Order: sequence, then C-alpha cells, then structure tokens
Amino acid sequence: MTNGPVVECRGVTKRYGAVEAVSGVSFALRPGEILSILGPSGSGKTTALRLIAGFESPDEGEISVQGKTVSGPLVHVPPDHRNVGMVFQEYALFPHKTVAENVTFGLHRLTSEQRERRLAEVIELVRLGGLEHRYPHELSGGQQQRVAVARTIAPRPDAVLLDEPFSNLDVGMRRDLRRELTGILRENGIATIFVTHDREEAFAIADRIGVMNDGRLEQMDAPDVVYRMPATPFVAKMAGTSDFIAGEVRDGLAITELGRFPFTSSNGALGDGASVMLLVHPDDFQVVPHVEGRAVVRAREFLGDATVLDVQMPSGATLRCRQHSHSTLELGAQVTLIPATGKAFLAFDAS
Amino acid sequence: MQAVSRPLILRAVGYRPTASGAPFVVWGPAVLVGVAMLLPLFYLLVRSMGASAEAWELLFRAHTAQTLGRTALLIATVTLGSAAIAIPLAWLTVRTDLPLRGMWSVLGVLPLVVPSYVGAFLFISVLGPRGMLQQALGPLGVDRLPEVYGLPGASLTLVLLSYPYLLLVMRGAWANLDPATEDSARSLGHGSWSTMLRVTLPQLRPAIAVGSLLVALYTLSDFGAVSLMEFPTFTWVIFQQYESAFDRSIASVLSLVVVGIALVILLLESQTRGRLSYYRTGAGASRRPRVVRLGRWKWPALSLCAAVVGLSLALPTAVLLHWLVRGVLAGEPMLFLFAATWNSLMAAGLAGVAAAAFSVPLAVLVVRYPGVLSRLLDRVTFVGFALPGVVVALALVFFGANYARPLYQTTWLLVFAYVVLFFPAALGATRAALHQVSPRIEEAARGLGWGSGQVMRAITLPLVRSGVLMGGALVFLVSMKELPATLILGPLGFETLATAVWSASSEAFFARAAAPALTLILISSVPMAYLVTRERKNGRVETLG
Repeated sequence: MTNGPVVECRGVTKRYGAVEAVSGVSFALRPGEILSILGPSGSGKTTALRLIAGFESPDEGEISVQGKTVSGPLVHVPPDHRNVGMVFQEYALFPHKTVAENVTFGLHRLTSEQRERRLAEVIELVRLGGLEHRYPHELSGGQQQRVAVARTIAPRPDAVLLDEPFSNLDVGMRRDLRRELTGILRENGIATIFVTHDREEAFAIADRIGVMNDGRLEQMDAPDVVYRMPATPFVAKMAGTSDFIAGEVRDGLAITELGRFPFTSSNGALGDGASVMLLVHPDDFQVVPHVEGRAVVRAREFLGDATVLDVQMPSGATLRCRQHSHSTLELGAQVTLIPATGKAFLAFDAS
Repeated sequence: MQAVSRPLILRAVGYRPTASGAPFVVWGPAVLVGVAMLLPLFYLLVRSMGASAEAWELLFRAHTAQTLGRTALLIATVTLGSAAIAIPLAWLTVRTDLPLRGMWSVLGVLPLVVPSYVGAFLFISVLGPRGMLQQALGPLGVDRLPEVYGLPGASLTLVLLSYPYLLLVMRGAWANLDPATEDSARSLGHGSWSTMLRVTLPQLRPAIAVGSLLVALYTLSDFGAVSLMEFPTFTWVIFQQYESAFDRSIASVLSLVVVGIALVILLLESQTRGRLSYYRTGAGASRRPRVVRLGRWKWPALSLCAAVVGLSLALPTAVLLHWLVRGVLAGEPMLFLFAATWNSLMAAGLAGVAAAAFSVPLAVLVVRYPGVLSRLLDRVTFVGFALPGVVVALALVFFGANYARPLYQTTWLLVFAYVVLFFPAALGATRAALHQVSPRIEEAARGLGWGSGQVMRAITLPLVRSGVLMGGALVFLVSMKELPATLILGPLGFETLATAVWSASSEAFFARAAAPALTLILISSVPMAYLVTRERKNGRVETLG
C-alpha cells in the first residue's frame, strides 16, 4: 500500500437532467482514515458514495482508487473491479442466502479453504459466532448490520463506504453499535467514508468531517476546526447549535446590540461599514441578572449538568446560552450578556 | 484488480455500461418481444390498407353501428354488474368478521377457471327454451320463461365469470390500504359511511379503474359467451366474416374498429385513475386494519356471498355433472378426450414456458433500466392485453399465409398467438416480484466483485423465481381457455378441450360438451390453486394481465 490517498475525487460533478446532484467535489481519503460526509437529505452525499463505488458515472471530474483512475472522461471501471466495499443504508443482505453465504459472497476468487478461514476471521471480528447458518430475516437489526459490515470487509477492500448505516436502528442501540463498528474499522486500519445526516454521529466517529450542501462540499476539516472555524454559515448550522447576531464593522470591531466585539473572518477582510453576522456558540456568553438589563429570559431547559436559557435580545432575536445547572434565573428575568472569554468571534459577510 | 476502460467510440455515442446501458442479454430478448407484440397490429394495418373499397364501405353501414352499440352496451352492463358484485364482496372478505371468510375468498375467485363458452352453454341448458328450469316449472303452469338469448344471457354469463378479475384487484387494494387514514377520518368526526364514501372509496379509485379495465377488456374480447348466446358483438361478427365471407379484408377492417374500442377503454381507465398511484406511499408493514363487526347484517351478507358463489360456481358444477352423467349413460365417445387434452396441455404449456422465460429480460429492462426504450416496450406489451384473440389470430393468419408459410397451420403459430395475447400476465407477475427485490441487493453483489450477468443468475433470478413461475402458471391457465385464436389458428384437425366444448355446445350437444368442459376446468384449477394459495400467503395479488 502506498502512502498516497486511498480514494481521491477531483472536481466530480453528476447531473440528473438539469439538477446537479454533486458539483465539483474534490477531496482525498487517507490510508486508515475515517471520513464523515455530513449533510441534510438531498445534499448529494449518497450520490457521491455511489459515484465512488461505481454505480453511477460522473459527468465531469475524475475518481481514483489507490492512485488508479476508476472514473474519468475515458474510463469507467465497473463496480465489481474497483475493490471498494459499500454498506448500504438498508443493508441489502441477500435474503435467500445464509449469514455465511452472504459473508463469503465476495470471496469467490479464493480457494474454498481460504474462504473458510476468512469467514471464520470475519465472523469472529463482528462477533456473529453461532449465527452462520441463520437467514437474514432471522436476525435482529443490529445483527443484520454486522452481517452487512462483515460481508463488505471480508474481501479486504481498499476502502469501505458506509451509507447511513445506523439510521435503521433504535436510538438506544445506535451508540453501542457505532462504537463497536468504529473500533473494528480502526483496529484493522480500514479507510472509510461514512455518510450521515446526524451531526452527533459524524462528530463522534470521524477523523475529518466534510459538510455537503446542495451538491457542494463546503468544508472538510477535523471536527474541532469544523466546529470552531466553520467556513460558511451553513457549515456553522450543520456543525452545532449556534446562533448569529447581526452587527456592523466600525474601527475593526463589530458593533452589535450586545456591545462591540473583536472578530475574525475566514473568507477575506471585512472593512468599515460592512454588515456582518457573528457566530455565537451557546457557551460564548454568561447570563447575568441586571435590573436595567434589556435582554429577557424566555425559556429554560434543564439538562442535568447544565441549563440552557433562551435569551431574547432587544431586537427580538434569541440566543441559546448554556449556564451552570444551578443558575437560578427565572422566566422573564431581566439580564445582560457578558462574553465568557475575550476571544474574537467568527464573522461572516452579511451583505 | 483489472481496469476495464471503455473504447472512446462507445463513450462518444453515450454508451454507459453500468449506469444506464442494459446488457445485451437483457435488451436483446426484450426487443424481440416488442417486435413480436407489434407484428399482429402491423399486419392488420397492412391488410386493411389493401382492403377493397367495398370493405371500407361496409364499415359505414348501419349494421356496423348496431354492432358497435351492442358491444358498448354489453361492456357497460358487464362492467357495472361486476362492480356491483366485486366491490361489496371484496370488502366483506377483507375487512369484516363475515363467517367463513377464508372459504368465501377462495370460492369467490374460482369462477376464473370456468371458460365463458362453458358458462354460456350451462346457463342455456338451464334457462333456455325447454331447459331444466322450464321443465321443473312446467307442472306449475309456467310455459314460457323470459328470453335468455341475447343481452340478458350474455351479460349474466360474463358478469358471473369476470367479476373475479375486479375482486382480486379490489382485495389487494383493500388489504394494502393504510388503515391509519380511515382511523384519522373517524377521529375527525366522520361516521363509518361518511368515511367509506369520502376516504376509503376515493383511495380505492385506481384499483376500481384497473379492475374495471380488466373486466371491460375481457368482455370486449369474449367470443364464447356472445356466440353461444347469439348476441352479435364485434368478435362474433368478425369471426363470421372470416369463416364465411369471400373477402377476408372485411374482417380486418372490422378488427381495426375493435382496436379503436380497446384504445377508448384504456383511455377511460387512465382518465379515471388520474395521477393517483396504485400503492400506499409509506413503505413497510402497517398495523392490521380494524375488523368491522357485521352484527345482524351478517345474514344479508352471507346470502349475497352464497347467491354469487351458488350462481357462478355451484350451479354450473351441478349442471355440468348432470350432463356428464347423461353423456356417459348415453354412450358419448370419450376417447377423443385424450388427444384434445394432450393438445391443450402442450399448446398452453409451451405458451406458459415461453411467456415466463421472456418476461424476465423485459421486466429487468422496465424495472432496472428506465429510459425511452424500456418505456416504449412496456407500452407495446399492452397490445396483447388490449386486443381480442379473434383480432390477433386473424392478423397472424394473414402473416402466416403470406410471409411465414412454414409456420402456417402449425402449433407454433398458435403458441405464438397465446404468448402475444397473454404476455402481459407473465410480465406483471415477474415485474411485481422484481419490484420486491431492492436494487441495492444487486449493487451489493456487484460491489463484492461479481459481474452483471453473474449477479442476475446468482441473486436476481432466485429471488424472482416464484413470481416468474406464477406468471407462467397464469399464461397456462388463460391459454387453456382461449377459444377463438385456437379455432382460427389451430392446424386442420387440431382439436383442443376448448374447441371440443365449443363445437359440441354450439350445436346444443350439451352431453357431449360436458366431459371436455370438466377436464378443462379441473386442469385449470391446478394453476388457480397455486395463485390462490400464493395470495393468501402474501396477502396481496398480482393482477391477471
């Protein structure tokens, strides 16, 4: 295996009629990395996976696996020759084959002895021992998912693609299975692209997160960077519960109804007079009772280790503010908001 | 890993091996089916173009208008009559606590195995002049019964034998209907009648339209009942023209009118169905619907079921047995039965196998590779569905006599006609089975390193097998019963059970007709039993054609 990217997309575009499902997407999957693609439904993330797997061919751009071009203007390697495994959202187990037959389905180029050995290894890995002769309909949802994973990793693919693999499971089971699956992928150093619309899932699993919106990849970075330095307001919304406050630039500061704050901007300088949106995270402000405070507590949500307050500002807009759980502020209390740290806020051009 | 790159020339013409291009094993046979389907229509047009001026003149005579009126009247009567029976029966057997529900639902669809010419001769022998009923009533001073020949007899026979088409469709739709919509209507303050009228029936409208379409086309194509009941609709008139007239192009010109009627029926159906879809949008199994308690309405409901089953099944069976006994006692010859049975089995069996085999590539093309070609072929298969056997058989006679001499007067041309006529039934069953197989399953196999042909053999075929078998069984069933195509295309001296029944009963030798009729019904019951048990297992039905 080389140290180059396992999968690389360069300017990949896919159109359905007039609609661009995927437009100009470029990124590289590094060896052993788990990459999440996060986006709302219809943002083109599943199409991106199907392009990499070879079930669709791009209208523009190139895709390569282990440095070999598999999709491009002159090439289309069919899915059965790509050595890229895919776990489908609905698992797509073969209903007429047992667990063992499902798992060995991709091992048809091995001798039967090698096949048996690999089957035993993989079954052990996903802890399905004893279920080899069951049929898919005789398994629970979690077991079915593990069969799907086992079937995909059995032929030792160069990369594994996971399409919302947890969305069909109960919320309670989801967290355990997620931990288990990422454990298997990491221990075996399997490079993985993992598509989801669940932000918590993406942040919990991924080494890097790519955020997709309307077919475009708006940002791809480590989870903390995506959270703290979102490239666009859309990424900020996808990445967390964050609000915006409006302001105007004067003398290098942003003037807002809560005061004047230092700011940074990820895309270009914002000069005097520019109107901006400041990104505010729930833990950016401290809520302090004040008789002349012009902000009002409108709702409180007790979360055990913290209390989240909805504070309405004079303009009518509300901010979510996370406080200690022993905060005693009542609904309707008049308050002021004080920045929790002196850090600069991230500003987006609002004009 | 081997990289398979496409030649530039293929790329230039837009050839895409994985995404939209079907492999040759799929589109090759599919195109062949399409051409076969269009063949009869094409030769009908060719033949009519060359028709004499006299033939065209005949088209505009009052006689033709009368035939048209009779045909339309019969279609309307039979469709309405079937709806009046099938809709309540479907509701009673799917949604209520009707006693013996399981039995009624099986008995309710069994009349499908009774061919219309058998039904017609049995009704004539009971209700006709000097028939059994009159003989029974004679001592009571009844010396005249209402006339059975004509519209009353033809529509009675066809209603009682064709309502199961609508019943099957309605039962499937009712079983698939999401009960949550009815529950919400009730909780919004609508009573049970209001819910039925405003929520349930409107949702069933597509099913009613499709079921009525089946009944209407069945009536349009019927030859057996209208000929025995002496109600000259188009099929009968065309057959007589073909048999007796010197100028056979008259028959082909009249056939074009029938094609026109079929088109009007299809158009009416698509208008009624509108843009509604056949199926519930939300997937997955829903709760079982609440069972309606009939209470004291149980008795009228039971009498309705008993009356329908009695008239359409019990009475014909009893009368048939009566004639069989009389025939045996009178020493009617039975030996010819073996040859006729063998001929029927062979021709219908070949048609079933061929239709089932060809339904696979076509279903794969239509379901998996949507595009211009697959949409076109999908439409084209409707030709057989819409055209009466008389029309298709006539066209094939012209074709065979002029262009396919070696096939003319052979069983092969007859089998070909059966496949053209009944292919949609096979396609429907295979397609329904294929719809149950998620394309993700095939893609998963591709991703594991299997080629598209291998995937089709190892994954797709085993999963759709029961649907394909079911389609073949359906084609076998309807081919066994097919009469006019067999009369016209069968080689000289080629007698099947269907032709044996018809030739005996058209001369009122009812005792001679009984044995082949019973054999025909018994053999047809085998695929029918398969169909019914499958319906009960899956809780849904594939429509017949």
